[in-house]
Amino acid sequence: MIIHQPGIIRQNGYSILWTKIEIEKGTGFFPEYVWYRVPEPYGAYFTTQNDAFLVPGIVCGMVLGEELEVRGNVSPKLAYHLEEYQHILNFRFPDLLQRVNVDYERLAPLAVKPKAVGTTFSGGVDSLFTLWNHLPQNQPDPDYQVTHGLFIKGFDILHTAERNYRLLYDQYVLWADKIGLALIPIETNIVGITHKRLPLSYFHGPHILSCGISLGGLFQRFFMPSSWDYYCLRKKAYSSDPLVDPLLSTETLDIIHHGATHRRGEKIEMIADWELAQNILWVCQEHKFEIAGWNCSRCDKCFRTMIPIFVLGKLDKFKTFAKPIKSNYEGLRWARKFSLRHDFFTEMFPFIKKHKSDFLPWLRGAVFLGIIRNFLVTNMPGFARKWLRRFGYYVTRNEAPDAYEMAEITQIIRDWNDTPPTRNT
Amino acid sequence: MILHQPEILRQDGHTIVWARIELSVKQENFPETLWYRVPEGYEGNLSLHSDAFLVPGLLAGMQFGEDIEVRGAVSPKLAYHLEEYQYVLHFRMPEDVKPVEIKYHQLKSLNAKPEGVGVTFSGGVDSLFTLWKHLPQNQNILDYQITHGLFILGFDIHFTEKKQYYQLLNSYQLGGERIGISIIPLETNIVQIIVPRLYYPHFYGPILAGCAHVLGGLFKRFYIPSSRDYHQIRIWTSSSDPLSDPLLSSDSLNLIHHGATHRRVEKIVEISRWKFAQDHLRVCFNKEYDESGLNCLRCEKCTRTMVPLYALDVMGEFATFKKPFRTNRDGLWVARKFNPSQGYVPETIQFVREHKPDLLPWLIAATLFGTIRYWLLKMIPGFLKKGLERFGYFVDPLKEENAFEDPAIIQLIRKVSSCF
Repeated sequence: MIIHQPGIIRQNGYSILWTKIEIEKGTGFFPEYVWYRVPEPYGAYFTTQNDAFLVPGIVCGMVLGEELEVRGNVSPKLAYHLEEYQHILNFRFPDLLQRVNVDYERLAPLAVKPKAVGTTFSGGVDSLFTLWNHLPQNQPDPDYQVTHGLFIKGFDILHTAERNYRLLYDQYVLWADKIGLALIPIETNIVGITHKRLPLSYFHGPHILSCGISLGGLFQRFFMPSSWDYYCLRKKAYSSDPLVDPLLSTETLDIIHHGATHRRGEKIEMIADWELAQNILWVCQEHKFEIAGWNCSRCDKCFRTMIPIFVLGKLDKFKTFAKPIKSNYEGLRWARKFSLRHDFFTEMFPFIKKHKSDFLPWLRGAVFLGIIRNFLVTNMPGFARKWLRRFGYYVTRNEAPDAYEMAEITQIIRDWNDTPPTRNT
Repeated sequence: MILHQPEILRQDGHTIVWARIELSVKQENFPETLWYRVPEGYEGNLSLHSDAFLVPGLLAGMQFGEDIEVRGAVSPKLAYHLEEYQYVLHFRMPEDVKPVEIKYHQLKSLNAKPEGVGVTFSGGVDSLFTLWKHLPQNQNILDYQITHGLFILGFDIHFTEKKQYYQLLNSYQLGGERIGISIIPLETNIVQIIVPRLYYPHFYGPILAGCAHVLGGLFKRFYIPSSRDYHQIRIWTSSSDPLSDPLLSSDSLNLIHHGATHRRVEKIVEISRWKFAQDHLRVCFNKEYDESGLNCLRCEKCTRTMVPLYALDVMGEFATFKKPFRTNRDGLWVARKFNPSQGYVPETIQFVREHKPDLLPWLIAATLFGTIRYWLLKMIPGFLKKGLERFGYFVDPLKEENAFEDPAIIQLIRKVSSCF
């Protein structure tokens, strides 16, 4: 695999950081170019260091079993730690990923002194918790106070869902302004290099972090909000946790995986009284923005967020749930979309026992019914699933091999490559 | 608990950095001052920040449940990460330590631009492996090549073994010169924070990190060689691993836990043809050093190191074993000090199967005998163990008087300080 020297295109108020990744063995769709795009004022912080493409690129190389040739500059610190990073990923996923050699053209640190502190910001519980903990009122050290949030398009929100993305962004930016946070909309197709090759839920780490690394001229520190706490991490291995994420730091960018010290219920408790969280919390898996509220209040993630808020007696303050729970009895609705996959319900019992014990029998009922339903759903025969797809069941948004692509950007890069004299790097 | 501002003291060509540690509830056998001593040539590299005292001192606060007040300056980066560090230690060893509040008088980065790259160096397999991997021939990034090794008195070598320590130091310094590494002797009493209250093998991490921090003016990067690999870390809980050690970094010192990617036998393969390792390897628990060698061949650690070396057919090259294996039958020696709880048996058997299968029956027999012997030893009643102590058996060297303290240095600190 060759990761070519990145380039920058400035056009129509946007900057695109792009490169070409050449693979030898892969079959199926592979992006012609990989890129990140931000509005113009932030384009000045893009750097042509190859770190942002190498981080997700190495995972792609590992899944394809291809040695990497990296053209251009790479951070020596990143290069040093990638050896251990590869070892850990291979140790955790020996059937999926193998260690590969990386040949660097040049090892040199970025010659900038960035000042900002960033975090990925999706509006979910984890990113709100990380942001809350790094506001001036909770974090006295200015070097650790978050100044910028990255709102990514091309990750959980696809490029085809421009309307939804815009809807969220417009609200986020209003609230971000109130707390002095600069919200940066960043678009990318980087997930496309491992899409259909690796499950995104396990391998989201390098993709998200690469967005922070791409703005190397801006960030001296970047927080990756933890999806899983130390209890969960003991049982399951991912590509993002407090051990592996910092290994992707560079000389100028310190990456911190934040929040694994708190269980999801504890995070919700911490942000429950925060007006910003009450107004913009977005956790829904269904992306049904046309209904009132951003959160459908029917999916598993909506429920496992609503229930702790309900037992804390603060659900009425949260404006983004379409159908908030109003009584204990309504907790039974969780059974409908209950999933055993993430094991959040084991932490929920002690939490509810502590805050609203009269809700406990209803929750037990929901879990009991939910387990039966979950068993039936997961054991549904293939032909039945196929049939149900016509009604919208068992359909995922990112099924297409090119789900993370944006043809318009690919065309811009193609055109730019075809017209060398007007290049503007 | 109060950690006072560190101070400097000079003594016979050495410099001592010390700080008073004050518990609100007095504890038996707890040191009144913590100190580090280095040759005066390194005085300019010593840090008067409290980092070197806070890192190990934190364990005392966490064990006794006392909030900590730190009077000297502390690195902001260290202070930020100590919250997570405390969480991790408590999560892993909830019976032993719990998180406490830390009040900082001053958060400030060290005003220095250190250039050195260090490693703790004991002469064992782990530190030799880490050193080997960071020599110019194996590590092409200049900033990651090791320049200094820290050889500590008061860690695995006790103050009661000073003679052996200086004998080794002399030899390591000579060897170090040949490969372009400066071996720095460092003495300290900070192990007294944990021994005899906490289980040493679980809590040694902050001790090593503290030793690196005290030379904050020298080190920009410091490696802590891994004792356990990723397979073992999954089941073996400790204060030192690739996750927790880097959390003890400061703004000017980057701590790296190195070597967990390799099993012990793999490390031995890597260093087995290296002349420096062949001349200096020291793994022995018994420390009965004399001209005939550094390693007794009788303790568990000696045997678990020798078996792979013998299987690789390089035993003859290693000059530091008193009675090296010469035949397969000698493999039965392993049984004598076999300890299955260390978890090295499966990897050794696998390794021998690959490299010297004819040793395998002897090793399996040794494992069988060793398991029986180990079980019998564990069953010996307490009174009998006590009786056997007078013959040198079941003696815990950690409990020896002044194993981790130099009374002369404490006397000296008392003399110059008005606090006592």
